[in-house]
Amino acid sequence: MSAPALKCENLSRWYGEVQGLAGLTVTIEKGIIGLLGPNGSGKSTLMRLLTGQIHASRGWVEVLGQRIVPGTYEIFRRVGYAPGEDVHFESERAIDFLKLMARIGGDGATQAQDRAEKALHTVGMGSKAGVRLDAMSKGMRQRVKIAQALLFDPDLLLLDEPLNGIDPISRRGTLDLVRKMAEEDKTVILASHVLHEVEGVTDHMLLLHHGRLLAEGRLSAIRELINQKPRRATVRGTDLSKLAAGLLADNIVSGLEFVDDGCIHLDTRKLPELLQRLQVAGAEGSIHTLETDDQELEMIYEMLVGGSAR
Amino acid sequence: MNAITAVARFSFWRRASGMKLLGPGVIALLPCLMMAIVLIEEPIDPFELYRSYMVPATLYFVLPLVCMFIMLPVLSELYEKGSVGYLYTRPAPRWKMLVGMFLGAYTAMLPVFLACVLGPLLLGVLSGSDASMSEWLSLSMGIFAILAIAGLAYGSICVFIGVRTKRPIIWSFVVLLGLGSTMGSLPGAGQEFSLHYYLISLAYKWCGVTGSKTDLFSPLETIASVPESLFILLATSVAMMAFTALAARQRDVL
Repeated sequence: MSAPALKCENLSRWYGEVQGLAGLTVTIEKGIIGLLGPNGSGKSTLMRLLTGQIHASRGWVEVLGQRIVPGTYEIFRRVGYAPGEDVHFESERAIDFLKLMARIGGDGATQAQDRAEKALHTVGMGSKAGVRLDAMSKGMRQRVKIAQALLFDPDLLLLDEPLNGIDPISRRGTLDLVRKMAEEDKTVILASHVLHEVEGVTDHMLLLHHGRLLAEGRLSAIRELINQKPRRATVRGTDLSKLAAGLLADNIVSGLEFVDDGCIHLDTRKLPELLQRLQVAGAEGSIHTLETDDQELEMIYEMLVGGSAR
Repeated sequence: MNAITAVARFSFWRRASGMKLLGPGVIALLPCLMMAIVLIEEPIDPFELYRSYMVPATLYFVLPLVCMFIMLPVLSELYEKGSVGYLYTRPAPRWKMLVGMFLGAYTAMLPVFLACVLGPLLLGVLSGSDASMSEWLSLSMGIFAILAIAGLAYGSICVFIGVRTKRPIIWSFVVLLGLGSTMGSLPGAGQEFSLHYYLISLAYKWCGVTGSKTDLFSPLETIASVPESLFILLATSVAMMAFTALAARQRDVL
């Protein structure tokens, strides 16, 4: 039986008097795991502890069966890590940056070139290999970061906010890549503060809050709780009164408020059905914009820790 | 060796590309400029001017400042930006990264030192020195060798400061100019605890630099032997790199 991808026991880390992570005890087997939490919840601290960049104040962590202590490095051949910070090797071309990373890992010049080209191709950046990092958009640099994490075909991939600043097509490509890795029996830990980003690829999540593990388990179970809470959608368009009447008649909305002639707030406990109806109306041209409150993560915190979550 | 050579190449170009050597280059040519000004004003032999005044000034000011310019940001810059995490999460020991970064930046420093000695040499020869070309070459190459050896020691101290402290500029001024140049130039027993003392000793033994005729650079009361000076300078380099490796193990990447 193979070792778990990640095992922590009472893992804690303080920055002076600030608590970064407090008593995390968790075991993660294979698959995709969403690491959820708002900024400052301890996601990046956990990532840094897993990759040996910082050391635990208390407790321990094992990655792929190896305890991470100061001086550990062999295991990182099997671990790919894309940090949350931007790439600051500005003057390097993408291919040279990746070759450097591959050569530090022990590759010769030719092997490093092949590996770098393959990784760039995997993230759809093959044609941008010769572009300097400081001439790239943030989204492109995000993909280069992911490419460097993929260099050694890792068994464990750690992605810290990988979808920040990237366009929808690259976003889909990144999520497809995550799914593909999981199909290959590998483990991906995907840190994010946006629930629906993670929800698209996995139902398994760890929820951190103020450095503590707030919940671990199936996202779908929590989703059911969220759906019982009223949600608000703001719709702008024309002929909205007719649309609102239809929604009320079908019991899809529980309340509505006309802001002006072209704008309406809709309260609902059936958000998926509402979105479906609005999509139909949008296709007919009567809706110009649609906004839903993106507070799902905050709602989860409220449910799990009460009103003190924020 | 792949890791060390790859990081060294990266580090070299990071230090040497663009206009990054312009600042250190200007500092390195200051003795040459000062020499030119004096030669216009005073009827003095350029060889004596260079050996008695400019060489001590080079070891006192130019060496530490060039080291600080080039070696200090090598790792401190990557720590400040958090980019060092990309290196430290590779499957290679950190000491290899540190050695590679050090060697690359050190190599970038050598052309600056070469300019520092070639400038006065050209000026001296062109201004009609009494000294022969071989005397000039011997003096210049001797000073270059001392700068190159000193660059290892001072450079390793800079790298250590860059990893260990969060205020590297202040600390490097204190250590290199305070404990180095100043303490090594003051009369008394404290001289021998300064690397500068061993540099001046080498300058005396290899190039006949007996100390400055000004009050700023006090002549040495005793002179260290060449083996002793070389041992102290090289041992300092090795020790500082070992301390750097220890500091890198402990310092968090944030």
